[in-house]
Amino acid sequence: MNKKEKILEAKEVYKIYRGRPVIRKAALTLRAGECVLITGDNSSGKTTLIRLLSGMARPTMGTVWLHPELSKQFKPADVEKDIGLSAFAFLFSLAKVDGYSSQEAKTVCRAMFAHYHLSGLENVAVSKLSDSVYRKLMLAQAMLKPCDLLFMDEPFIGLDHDARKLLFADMMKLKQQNTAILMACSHRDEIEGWEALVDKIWHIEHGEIKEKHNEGTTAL
Amino acid sequence: MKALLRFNYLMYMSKFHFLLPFTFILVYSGLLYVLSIFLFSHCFVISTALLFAISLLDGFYAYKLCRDNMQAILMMKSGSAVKCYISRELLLVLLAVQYTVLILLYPSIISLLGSGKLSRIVTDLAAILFLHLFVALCGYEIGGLFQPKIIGRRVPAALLMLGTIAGIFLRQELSMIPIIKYLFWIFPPIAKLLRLVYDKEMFFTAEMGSMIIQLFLYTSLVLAAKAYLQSRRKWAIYE
Repeated sequence: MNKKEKILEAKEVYKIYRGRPVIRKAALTLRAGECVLITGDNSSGKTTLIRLLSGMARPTMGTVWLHPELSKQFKPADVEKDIGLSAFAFLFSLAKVDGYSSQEAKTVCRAMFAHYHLSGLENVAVSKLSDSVYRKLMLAQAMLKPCDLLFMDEPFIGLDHDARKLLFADMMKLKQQNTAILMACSHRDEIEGWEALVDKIWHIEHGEIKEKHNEGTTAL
Repeated sequence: MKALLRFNYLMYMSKFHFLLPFTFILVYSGLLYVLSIFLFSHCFVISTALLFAISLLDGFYAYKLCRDNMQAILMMKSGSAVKCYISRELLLVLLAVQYTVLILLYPSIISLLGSGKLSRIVTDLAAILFLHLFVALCGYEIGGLFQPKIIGRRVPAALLMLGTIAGIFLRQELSMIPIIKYLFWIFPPIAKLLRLVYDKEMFFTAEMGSMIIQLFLYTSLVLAAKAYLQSRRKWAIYE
């Protein structure tokens, strides 16, 4: 992707669940290399917005356009942990889905285990990992292969201070590589030094999305 | 596709699942052995009915094991919702083949030896394999259809299974049980194959060819129904 090329656009998007509008009249644009933070209270619709913009949920009204050649990765807020595979086998299998050969997948997975301080846990079943370790594993799967657009739902929750710093550094590096990042966080203060990372904030309140730049706030 | 299939298979086999391969074989073989002592002449009907019920339930749970968020990760990584869908279908086919081959040896041989027609073992074994494989595939496909995400009806799946098992114990009234009647009406090749084996008719190549085509058409029909339901949701995972 060219720097600042438009890669995502939402027009007049509504999402209504059982008669209740969760997202109203969202008009959003994302460009290559931008990092956008989605904030809002619990159950405000952050995850719903991510699902709509990633194409995993359909808007009730409106359209979402994604660049046709976009490669994407996704770190969900939760994935059920009852996976009997070992941590390494799980990551290795996902690396194969990413398109790596067996040898490349092994190399990349070993690097991820070392990077996220997961060494020694390769043969532990995913279901037996602690929550914080499991969250690091889910982060690792999203970082296995460089992509154009990275969706992250509550990436900092459950991470200790060092892990947060590590993730922050990884995201800064991705941004420099022109990867766009769309992440949902309940509170922006979860991200120390977020001002250096985030280009804009989409704040959801009562279904409406307000875009905040450094210059001010504009209702969308 | 290979990587997706491998991932789905590993996830299926690694989870706690009451229909693990050996449990499946033990339960199935045990039931068939016990029942066949008393219901020998209806062995094939029992065999296929049991297999259908078990594969239907297994197909239902195989789809249940597909977590929305994990499917989202796979779709993003592979870049294709269609590939993810096809890999799940291929997994069901592999499971049906695996279970069919593993469970057929004992009860099929018992039935054939008991029928006293050793000279027809090869063709009859082929018919039995084909019949059971088709039933297993149907069970898996239809079981997957009953997933709440697709249709939203758990009760019909449970009733279907109970009806099948009830039919096993009411062998004289088999045609009165909705599921058995449904099975033979919707899938006439099954009834035809059973008739050929029971009535000791000769297998002609044309007859077999005709049945293969019919079975292919019926399987395609079920797959097409699933694809239509999936496309109506436009591959969206979350609703």
